[in-house]
Amino acid sequence: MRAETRRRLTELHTWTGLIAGFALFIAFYAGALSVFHDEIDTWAVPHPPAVSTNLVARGDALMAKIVDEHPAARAQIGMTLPGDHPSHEVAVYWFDKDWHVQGLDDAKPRGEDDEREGLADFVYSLHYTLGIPELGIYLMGLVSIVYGVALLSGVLIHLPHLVQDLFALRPGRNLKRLWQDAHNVIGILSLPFHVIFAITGALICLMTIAMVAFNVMAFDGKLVPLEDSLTGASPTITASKVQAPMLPPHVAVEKARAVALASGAEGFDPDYMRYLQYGDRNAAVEVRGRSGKTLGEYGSVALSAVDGRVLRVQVTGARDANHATYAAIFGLHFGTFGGTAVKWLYFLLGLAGAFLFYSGNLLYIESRRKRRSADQPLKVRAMATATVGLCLGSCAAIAVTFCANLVAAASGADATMIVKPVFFVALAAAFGWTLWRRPARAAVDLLWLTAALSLAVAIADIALHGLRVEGGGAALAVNITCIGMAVGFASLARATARRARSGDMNSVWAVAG
Amino acid sequence: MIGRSLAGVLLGLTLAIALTGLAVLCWPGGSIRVLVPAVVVFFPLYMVLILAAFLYRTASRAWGWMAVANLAAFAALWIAQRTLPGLPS
Repeated sequence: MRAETRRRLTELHTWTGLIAGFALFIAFYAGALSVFHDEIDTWAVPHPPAVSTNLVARGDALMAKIVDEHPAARAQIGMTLPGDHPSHEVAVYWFDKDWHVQGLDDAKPRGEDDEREGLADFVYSLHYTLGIPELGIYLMGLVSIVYGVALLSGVLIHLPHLVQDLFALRPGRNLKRLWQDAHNVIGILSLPFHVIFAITGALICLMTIAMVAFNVMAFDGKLVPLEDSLTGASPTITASKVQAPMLPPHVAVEKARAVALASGAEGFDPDYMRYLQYGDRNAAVEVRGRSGKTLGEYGSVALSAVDGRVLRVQVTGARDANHATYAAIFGLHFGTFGGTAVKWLYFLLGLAGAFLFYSGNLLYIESRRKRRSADQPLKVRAMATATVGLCLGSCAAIAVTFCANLVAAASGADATMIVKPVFFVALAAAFGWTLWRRPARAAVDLLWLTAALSLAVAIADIALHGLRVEGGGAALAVNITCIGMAVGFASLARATARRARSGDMNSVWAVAG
Repeated sequence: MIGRSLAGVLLGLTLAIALTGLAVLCWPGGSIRVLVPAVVVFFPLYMVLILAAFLYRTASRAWGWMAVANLAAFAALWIAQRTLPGLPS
């Protein structure tokens, strides 16, 4: 590679890293936590309301009531099936010009502005929207594309030295070299994982938009009408206008499970079902469920909603390339193809990814540092402030949000009302603190704060609710992980404080005196 | 930087759509069978094309070559749309 090309690629890598790095740090940190979404949800709702046993029957009745009131909902109306973590909601979804949703306990359909989220759901939405409603998901899709370009350019720059530098970690006087080595080794060793996330992240956020673009530019408008049949099992049906009684959901679900198992799927755990042309003699019912021992766990079975005969089967072992690929995108992104070990691997690689973006910012600062002056250029100071305020600030803000959830749940308040505002107030406060205290001091403060809050929330939870070994010990595991995170943040805090005191004074990371 | 970025982001986008669309239309055994895999291929292809814009010596070369590639790809797509079976309607 010519030196000039390499320089240009380095510049591209720097800029794409700068543009996407902050969003990716938050996405990876919140995403690593979201690997344990269901466990965090179990932790966050210590005394879930008693689950009634007739949820599916109530959903059935609610669907019948809704199609009575909104005849347009007959075209497609469905319900989520009961799940095994406390905030999982059984709700009815239907399409009448727009998607509508009504939970079993709601008196009327939910408004657009109702975005109550529990702790686990909030951390998850932070992962893929940064907490920005409506547009956040598309923003994260674009960030994923920029991330992909950053990965490609990083690999190309590094390619000539790939083998000899792979296992090199050179501590010593040259700090830039050390950060460079750490950044490279983590980047290269976790490259397959990052490739997966750049691609599946862009796909999950932007697939609908990409389909529309292909529809217009390459397929003469014939793609969008096919979209449902590419990702689900729904057949194209026309209403006969002759009424017929519908197979009730529990019967449809059992029948679909039997069909899936007979087709070779390893288990079938239904989580969503919907009717197409509800109440019509030609109506179909589609059941979506998860199977094991496959990369893409989701599959669907479509049956006649009148007599239960099989219309389409798209489950593992009996599906086409479209459905296998679609399911694999989600399997690879969410790490659901394996057991607990894969989830922990995703968690650790997620944290390592966050560190990759953080170390990239440190490299930017270190390579633009003025070596002979205590005063650093504005861009270096601004970068240090943004890195500490946004990255470490969001770690601290998430820890604050966990504490707020615990306090709200213990005092009987509705935690879903507070988690989002608490997070953003805490993040703003952390950023303000960084501006006021300067990055070197603020980094130490925020790291200690995160460590202290992580430890406190685990101890307080154990003090309030005991060890919580019930339900497979999910809540206990969250508490133990919080303590582990506290130890990690505390050691980062100590290292940062040591560097501020005794490292090179001509740096944004030094504290004078 | 801006010139090359725009060439990659804009012309790379249309080129990636045309190339994957063309591959789908030419797929032996029916285009509908590879639609989702094609969308999966589209994203890394787009990323590679954005990067490719930075490998040319000058921004105008990046624009020029990517415009030529777009013209060729859309001409081929136009022919494929009119001669091959395409998607079922």
